[in-house]
Amino acid sequence: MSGDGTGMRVAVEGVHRTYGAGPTAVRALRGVGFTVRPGELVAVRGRSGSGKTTLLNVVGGLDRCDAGTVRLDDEVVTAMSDDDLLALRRGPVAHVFQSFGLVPVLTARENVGVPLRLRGTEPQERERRVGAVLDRVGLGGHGEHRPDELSGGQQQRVALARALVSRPRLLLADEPTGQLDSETGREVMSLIARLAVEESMTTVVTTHDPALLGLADRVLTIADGVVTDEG
Amino acid sequence: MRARVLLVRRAGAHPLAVLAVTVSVAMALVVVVALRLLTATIGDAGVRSALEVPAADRSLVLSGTLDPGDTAAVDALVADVGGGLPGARVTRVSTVTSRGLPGRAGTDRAALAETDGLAGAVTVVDGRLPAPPEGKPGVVEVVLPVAAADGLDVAVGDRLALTDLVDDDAPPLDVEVVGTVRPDDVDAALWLDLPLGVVGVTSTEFTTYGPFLLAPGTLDGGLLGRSSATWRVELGLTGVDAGSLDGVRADVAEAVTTLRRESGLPLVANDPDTAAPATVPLDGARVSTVVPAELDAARLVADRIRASLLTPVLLLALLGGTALVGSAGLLAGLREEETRLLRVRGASSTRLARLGLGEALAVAAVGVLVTLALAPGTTRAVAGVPGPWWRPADAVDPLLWSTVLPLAAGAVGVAVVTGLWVGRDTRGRSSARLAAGSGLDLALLVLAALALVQLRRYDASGSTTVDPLTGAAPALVVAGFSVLALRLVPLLSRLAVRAGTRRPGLDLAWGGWQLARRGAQQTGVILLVLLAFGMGTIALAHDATVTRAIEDQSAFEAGAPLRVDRGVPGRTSSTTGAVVEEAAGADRVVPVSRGTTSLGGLDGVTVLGLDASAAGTVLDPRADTLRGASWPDLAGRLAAQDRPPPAVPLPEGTERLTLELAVDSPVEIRRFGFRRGDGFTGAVHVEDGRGVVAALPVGGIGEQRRAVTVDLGSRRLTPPLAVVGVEVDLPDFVSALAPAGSVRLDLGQVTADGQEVPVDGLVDGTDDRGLWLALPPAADRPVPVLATPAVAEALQGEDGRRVLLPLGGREVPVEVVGVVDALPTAADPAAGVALDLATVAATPEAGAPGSFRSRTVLEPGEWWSAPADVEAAAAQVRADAAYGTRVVVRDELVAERRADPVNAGMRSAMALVAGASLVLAAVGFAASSTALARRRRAENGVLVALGVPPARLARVLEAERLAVVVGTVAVGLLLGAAAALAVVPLLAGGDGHPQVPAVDVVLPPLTVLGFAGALTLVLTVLGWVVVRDDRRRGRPPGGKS
Ligand SMILES: Nc1ncnc2c1ncn2[C@@H]1O[C@H](COP(=O)(O)OP(=O)(O)O)[C@@H](O)[C@H]1O
Ligand SMILES: [Mg+2]
Repeated sequence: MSGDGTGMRVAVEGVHRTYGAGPTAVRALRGVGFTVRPGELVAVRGRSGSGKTTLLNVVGGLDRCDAGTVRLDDEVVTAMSDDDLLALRRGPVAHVFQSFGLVPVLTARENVGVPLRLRGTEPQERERRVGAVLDRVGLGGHGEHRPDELSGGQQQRVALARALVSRPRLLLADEPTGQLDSETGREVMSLIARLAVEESMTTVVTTHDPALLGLADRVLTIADGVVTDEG
Repeated sequence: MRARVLLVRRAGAHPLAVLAVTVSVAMALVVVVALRLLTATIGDAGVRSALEVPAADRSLVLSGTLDPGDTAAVDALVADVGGGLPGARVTRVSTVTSRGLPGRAGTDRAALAETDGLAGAVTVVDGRLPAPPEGKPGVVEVVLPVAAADGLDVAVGDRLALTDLVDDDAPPLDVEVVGTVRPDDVDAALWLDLPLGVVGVTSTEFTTYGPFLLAPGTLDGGLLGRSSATWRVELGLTGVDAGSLDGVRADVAEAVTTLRRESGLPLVANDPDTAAPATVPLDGARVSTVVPAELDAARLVADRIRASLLTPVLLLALLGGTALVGSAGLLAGLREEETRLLRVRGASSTRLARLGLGEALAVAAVGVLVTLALAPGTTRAVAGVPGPWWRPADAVDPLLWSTVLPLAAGAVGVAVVTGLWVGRDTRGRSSARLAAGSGLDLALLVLAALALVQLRRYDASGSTTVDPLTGAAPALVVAGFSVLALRLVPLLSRLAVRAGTRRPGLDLAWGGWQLARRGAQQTGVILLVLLAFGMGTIALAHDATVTRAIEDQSAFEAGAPLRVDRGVPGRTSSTTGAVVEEAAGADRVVPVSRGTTSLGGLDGVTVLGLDASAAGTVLDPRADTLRGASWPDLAGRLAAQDRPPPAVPLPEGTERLTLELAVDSPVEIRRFGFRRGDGFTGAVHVEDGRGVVAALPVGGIGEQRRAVTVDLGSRRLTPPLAVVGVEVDLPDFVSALAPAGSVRLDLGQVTADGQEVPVDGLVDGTDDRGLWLALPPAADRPVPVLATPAVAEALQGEDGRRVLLPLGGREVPVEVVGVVDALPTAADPAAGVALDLATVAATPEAGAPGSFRSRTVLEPGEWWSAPADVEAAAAQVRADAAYGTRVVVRDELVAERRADPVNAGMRSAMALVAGASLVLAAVGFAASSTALARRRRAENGVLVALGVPPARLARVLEAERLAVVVGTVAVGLLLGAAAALAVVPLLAGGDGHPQVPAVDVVLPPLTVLGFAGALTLVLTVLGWVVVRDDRRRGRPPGGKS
């Protein structure tokens, strides 16, 4: 569906996002702007609380900003209706979360199959693709396991497989290694890097672990709600 | 102090969940306590109602004979015994041997009596009450019942000489009638010992008039020698309640023992070794009473009510417990995070447990306060006891406290354990699921089956004591079925998953997965709904069944919408039938004769003779007692197909029938010596338009032809009339003097209002029992009868042998043409037989050579009717019928039974329980829905991030809840029906009335379906509101979990 083989171009301009109002308001993003080229793997680093998650949510249409624009290719995400945003998440944009976001009562296969069910893929085709993508993340033998029967790394691979199964053109991974030990984290990070190339998708990964930044084409730094490009 | 602040803060954080816990606890406490209080109230009412028995059944009776001057000693003993019994009233009736009445027929007798209870039991119609004999030596003052005075044709001021029948030399007793009296209440205990006082005249072999009532103390003064005396201690049992019952029972036993011991009777029946010498001068003493049996019956009613109400109490406690587990679980679940924080901050497990305990105690305290405020008032309102909603005495009711404290403690335990359990067990396997897994449901069912068997035995024998297991049976049945039904949950959800897997879309699969893999989260609410529904169905079925049973039993007791009978036997009014026919319409009246007979081993078989032609429409016995036949058809089978034409038809409107009669004898009748006036007595048998034969007495038939007249006009018989026989009674000794067959009846001219009527239709039918002119012999054909199974069996002839029914001293051939399970109004409902009056009148006696018809005269003494306007007809009969006539109105019996505190209380209790179940189910459902929605927030966030519209998630959750509710209610329908069928017959039989015909469980389909629909609607709307609310408040932040 989305697989025209090219990643999306991301253009963020002057994005502001403030939580709450009055004296307790938190200005998480204060005029963020950057662009990501199609197929590029960009890492966003920043300390905890610097606004990384907020940024990815705004880019992927999970959250709305107060001011500024986000463009994916030529589509203005910040101007989209709720329904369009849902369609965006069902289609070209996929998310991976720090806490994996797997449904505990579903097996790995079932978790991975959810996006395909949302698009109404025929059961046979669905199962074939789920099997293929699980193989690609190296979990071919673990399809029938429930999340609590898998290690953290395996769970994040399942989450990755679920993100990939709908062949997205933009992958937004929010601290995918945040809950993993550094060894496993590195493995997952390299898997993301490899898949990003193989799928030629645009990928934005946030992390606060400097050790993982080497795999990125480019590293952005976020601090005090403002992004700076370190090249 | 800090702990209290923390408690308040914790409670404030989740007000709705805390409210749910509090409501569950308070609701269950209030209703269970109210039911306990109600049990006591209804139990007392049941005891009172069971003890509302006629005076005869409330009395201890001592009788015997004694010499003049000895009365005081016995009086003292009885007074002493009576003093220890509740509401005792002692009356003594003394009688002496009957005396002759010179100047009247040789068979006339005068009965003499005195009683100390006279003044309060009669109204003086004329004159005054008698004074003791000192004043006028030689002449003793007496009063007579009006009926006796009329029969003797004496008035106030008349004197009579009463002769001693044993000692011819003894001087006659001269009495002066100083007054005439009429009993105030014919049912008063006094008349049990002096029945003649009600009727005034009885005729058997002798005609006895009286009683000639002397002033109290006259007989003791030695005027008439030895007397027989009866002391009756009539108890006032209205104040006895369930609590005092056993004490009274012991007192009565003690009183009986004292009476027996002091009068020299063995303490153990028929064991002379247990007798001590009498201390009172009473010969042939007898002590009799049924009071202990009555008290035992009342005890049984009280026990039965307690057992019956145990069912709703246990079910409600179960429901309350389940709802509490649900809401406490929700609360604990909501606090998982908070608890973790507390732990992180260093709170120990003990500290956390103490917090939980403190909170549970606070909730329980609220529950106790609410109970204190609401339960007593609720009880009074439900039981229909007048009084304010609350009064200070309620606060110290020991029953209330002894119920509420253990319950509150139980609630605290459940709440604390649930909190700890949920804190530990994150996989949420519910205890109900565990129960199903461990086979607890099967154990419950086995226990329930055992209890039911026990309960049935108890029900059948009616005498076994009630143990807690039997009372718990219904609750066990419902609980067992409910847990059993939980086994269906995994099964059904597996089906849903399988269906979902094969489809491309998400919704069905998602719902199926949730149900299948998180079914445990649903079991609590499923259990709750099942219990509530089971309880509700039982309540509805109970209500419908009791309504029906009350109608059935009233119909059975009355026999017809309106029944009129003569009340006290012996008091006859020849016009009652006409009065009823006038009030109700002749074609809506069935004349009925009632008699008792013995058949083989069966005693007390009720024989109802009725007019079968009208019975088909007037009577309406319950269809299921008719073994598949229709009542009109059965009634139709009773009437003989061809009735012989009347022998001597009388012209329409005949008022006075005059017959010239004589006894034709070869021996001079004067030699027989005994006669009344100048001859024998007899009767003219007149058949009315219905074919019913009445024997109208005629007297003074002697050797000379003499015209005797019967007043037909005043009897108002249903026309057309015909003479079907004339009979004259011959005393036994006549046959000894005259050769057999030589004495004959001679009938001359018969005139109706002066107009001659041809009498060729009658032929001589004299036999050794009397002189007869009768209809010519007819073909000897059996009378068709309807019989109850036992009677039908007793009537079963062996291989074509003729079956005979003893009827009016004769044996009538009968043939069973239909079997009915119970004969309405029969003393023993299972032992009854019904036949057609006209057919039996037209059927010859069995076996006798030359079988004559119309020998068996069954005279109607009751009139059953189905007037168009029962109320008006009843009022008219009450106004027009003779004094003492009894009018039984079916609807009045229904109203009376409905108002019976046991019936009314049980129904209110069941309604209360059903209502409380609904509330508890709703609270539990809301709590569980909230918990479910919250538990899914995280994964719903993920799904939203994957592009699922939140509204769709809510819809799936709602659909899931709906599926659970619909499925549960569907199972609940079956469960409720099964439980109701098992339980309701046992609940419905508690009011102390015999349950005849057997209680038929009514499951009102529309009401139950309506209830199911309402429950589904309420729960669905509730689920919808909760899910919406959760979505509104807890919109998940993208992907954060
Ligand atoms: N839903 C929210 N409500 C209020 N404040 C929020 C919310 N989400 C994030 N914040 C605040 O916004 C700031 C940025 O948060 P976040 O984007 O989660 O940072 P990061 O992902 O880099 O840790 C933080 O100060 C955080 O406390
Ligand atoms: Mg973050």
